[in-house]
This record gives sequence, structure tokens and C-alpha cells, in this order.
Amino acid sequence: MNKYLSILRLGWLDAMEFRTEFFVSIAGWSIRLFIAVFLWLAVASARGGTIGSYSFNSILVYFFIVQTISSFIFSRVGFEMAYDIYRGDFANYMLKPLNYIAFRLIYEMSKNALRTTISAAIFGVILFAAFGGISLPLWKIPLGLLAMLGAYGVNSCLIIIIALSAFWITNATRLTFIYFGILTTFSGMLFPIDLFPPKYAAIFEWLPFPYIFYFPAKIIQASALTPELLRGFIFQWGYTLVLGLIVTLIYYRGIKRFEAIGR
Amino acid sequence: MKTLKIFLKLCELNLKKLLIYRASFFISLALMGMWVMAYVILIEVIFYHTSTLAGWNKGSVLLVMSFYYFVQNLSDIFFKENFEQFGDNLRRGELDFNIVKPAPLRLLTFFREIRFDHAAGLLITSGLFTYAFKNLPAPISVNHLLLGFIFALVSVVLYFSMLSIISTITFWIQKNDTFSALIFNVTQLSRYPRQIYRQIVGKILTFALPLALLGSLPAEVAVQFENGSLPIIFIGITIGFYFLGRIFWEYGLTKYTSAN
Repeated sequence: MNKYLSILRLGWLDAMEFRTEFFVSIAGWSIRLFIAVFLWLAVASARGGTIGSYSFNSILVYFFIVQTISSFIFSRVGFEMAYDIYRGDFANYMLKPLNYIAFRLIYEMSKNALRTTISAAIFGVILFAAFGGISLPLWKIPLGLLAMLGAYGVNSCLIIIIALSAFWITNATRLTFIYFGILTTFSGMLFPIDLFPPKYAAIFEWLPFPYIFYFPAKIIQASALTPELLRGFIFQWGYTLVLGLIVTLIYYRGIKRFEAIGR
Repeated sequence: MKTLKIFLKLCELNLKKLLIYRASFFISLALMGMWVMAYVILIEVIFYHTSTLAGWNKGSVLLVMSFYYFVQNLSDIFFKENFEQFGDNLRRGELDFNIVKPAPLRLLTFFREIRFDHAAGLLITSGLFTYAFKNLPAPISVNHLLLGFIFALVSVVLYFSMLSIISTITFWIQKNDTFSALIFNVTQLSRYPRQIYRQIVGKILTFALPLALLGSLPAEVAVQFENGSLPIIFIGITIGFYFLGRIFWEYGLTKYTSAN
């Protein structure tokens, strides 16, 4: 356990050491939010202030929440793992008394925790100044955190599955970018899933992607814990479990194929 | 003339590389197809709820997006990856090898890796143009479309100059692994009609940091959107940014201390 706490600390120190890079990344995320604000303001203006079931204010709050979630779940783990396998650096980790996937995830998560804290503080101040804050009763805090952890689980598992394909193919990095394209469309990152025509929205709810952005944002925006939201938790954590098992299976199969000649 | 010869040689070497890694072309096709599809779906969803966006109809918004991707395709082929790798190369001291070569340093630094496999993106973009034309309320003239493409080339020069300015900052901050993500996010400002950015923000993104014009202006020229002398101003801004990028690069280089 101590070794993983040390990794947690190392990730945190790394994030603190390269502060400029850290703030550049926050600036990058903020630009996306900035575009979303203006884009949806234009849509709302054309529609007399509403978009589907959303007012302009509620869609704005939705994007602020999505942005905070993305600070937490954004992951470079896929690139790093694919690179380790491709370059043979993975061999170094096989000799160490730790679980390679846990090492990568914990290191990343501690960096993201700092990013999320700062994002939440910045966006919280903006939301408070613009709308007097958002309603956040006590019951939402543990459920919101649980939904964000589930989102991190689903997203990380999908990314790791792609990264581990590097055991079989030369370069898995670009597959990760294809995944980002799918994620952007069907996760609620670009627009809430319920803005799709209803027949499509009903199909997408069965996929794992809406449980990465749309579902946690809905939990935080919800006025009450409805049966639909509870069903969402079952889907989210069910996907995390199944995908986690697939990751484990692929990982151990991949190790058997791994060769690091000359190292 | 010498610069052109070196540039053509770099093109030749990179074309040979593409012939070795042919699968890259098809991966680029899938990658670009996925991203274009994502944003076309966004436009479809928006126009499912409304009939106009900042005064633009669906076909025109798709045309803005088509020109945006055309500019992106050319930058992906010729220089974008070099900008993304610049921070890493700087840290590893690889700039030293370029400095000692008898060729323009910016050319060797930002055009070394020419990714012809990204030409696959042009296929997807041509499909997007076709879809945009189908959704336009009236056909556009060939002459105006050609003029739109000429302005898209001006956009490429402007985009290169802006990336050059942003990446030169790396001389001061050293580590910049998130630079590619920053480029990706900054670039998205050009994806939609410039009219969505209102008041002072619209003015900044049109005249001071003219990212809103990269895709919008070529589309405005193609559909003959009334924008006064903006095309002339756009050319002036591009020339200004080009020289600013050059001067800033020369200054940044004086801060480079080498990693070797």
C-alpha cells in the first residue's frame, strides 16, 4: 500500500513542479468551455432562450460541470502505456514489485485531482458570480463523487484496452484519437445526450459513453434522485466491472506476447 | 530558391516514408472521418432545434466547417506535428542538430516531418464540402468558390504564423507536453461562423487574434456574404502575423541554451 501512496505523492509533485504546463492545460480546457458558451448562446438566441428542455443558464451549468469532470477523467495513460509497450520500456516495470496498470492510473489520478480542484474552484467562482451558484444539497456530494469515479473507471478501462492493443499492433496511439472522436460525440461532452432526437437518445443510453460525461453531469444537476438515475449507477458501475475484467484478460494475454529484445 | 529546393527535398523524403508505412493513410482516413462525423452530428443536432445559427443557415455553417477542415488538413500535412513535437525536441536538445545545418532554421524545425498520410483527410473534407453544397439554399459560383480556396490558403499562412508564435514561448517554459492539446483547443475557435462570438470577444477574435476568421472568412467569400473590406484586412493581418512570428522566433532563439 505504501508504494502506491508514494506513487500518489510523486504524481502530485510532478503536477506541482511543472506549473506552467499545468496552467496551460487548464487554459486549453477553458477555451473549449468558452466556445461552448458562445455557440449555445447563439443557439439559445435563435430559439428564444431555450434549447430542448434546457434554458441557456442550465445548459451553461451543464458545460461547466462537464469541464470539471473532464479535468478529472482526462487521461494520458493510454498514450504512456502504448508508448511503454512500443518502446520496450514496459520491461522495466515487469521487474518492479508493483502492478503496472495500478501504477499508471494512480500516478495520473493524483495529477488530475489537483487539476480538478483548481478547475472546480475557478468554475465555482464563475458560476457563483453569474448565477449565484448551483444547488448542491448534501446528498449530491457523495453521489456526484461516486459518479465521477465511475466515469473515471469506464473511460480509463476503454483507453487502457486500446493502449494494450500495442502488444499486438505497432502503434496504438492513433486508435486512441479515434476513441476520443467517439467519446466526444456520444458521451455528452459536446452536447447533452437528451438533445439528440429521442429515438437516437434512447439507443445511446445503452452505450458506455454517456456514463462518462452526461450521467455524472445529470447527477449533479438533478433536483432529486430518480429511479432513472439509480439505473444509471447500475449501468455505469456494471460497465466499469465488465471493462475492468476485459482489461485484466487482455493485459495478461499481452504480457505473454511481449518481447523487449536488447533490453 | 534554396529554401524551395530544401522544402521540395523534405517533401520527397517524407513521401518515401509514406510508401513504407502505407497503413498510416487508412488510419488517418478513419481518424479524420470520426472527428468530422462528430462535428457534423453536432451541427445536425443544433439544426434539429433551430433553423439558423447567428444568421447562418445549415449549409453555410457546414461550409465554414469544410473550409476549417481544409485549413486543418493542409496544416496536418505540412507542419502541425512539428509544432506539437517542438517542446519535446527542445528538451532533448535536438534543435542543436538543425542549428548547425546550412538551411533556414524555421524550415527545418517546422517542416521536417511532412505527413502525407494526412492527405486522407482531404478526401473526408471533400465529402464534407459536397454535403455542405447539398444543404445550401442556392448553388454558389465556381469563381467565388475558387476565391474562397485562395483565402483558405491565406488562412493556412496565418495559422502557421500563430502556431509559430505560440510554440516560440516554449523557449521560456521548457516543458510543454500539453502543447498539442492547447493547439487542438485553440484551433476549435475557427470551427464555427465568427458571428457567434459577440461584442468585444468577436472583435478580438476577428482583428487581434483572428482565429475566428480561419474558416469563416473563406466561406463568407464563397457565399458572397457582405463583409465590407474584411478580406483585405484579413490579408494585412496575415502579413503582420507572419513577420511578428519571424521576429519573435529570432528573439526566442537568443534565449535557447541547448540541452546537450
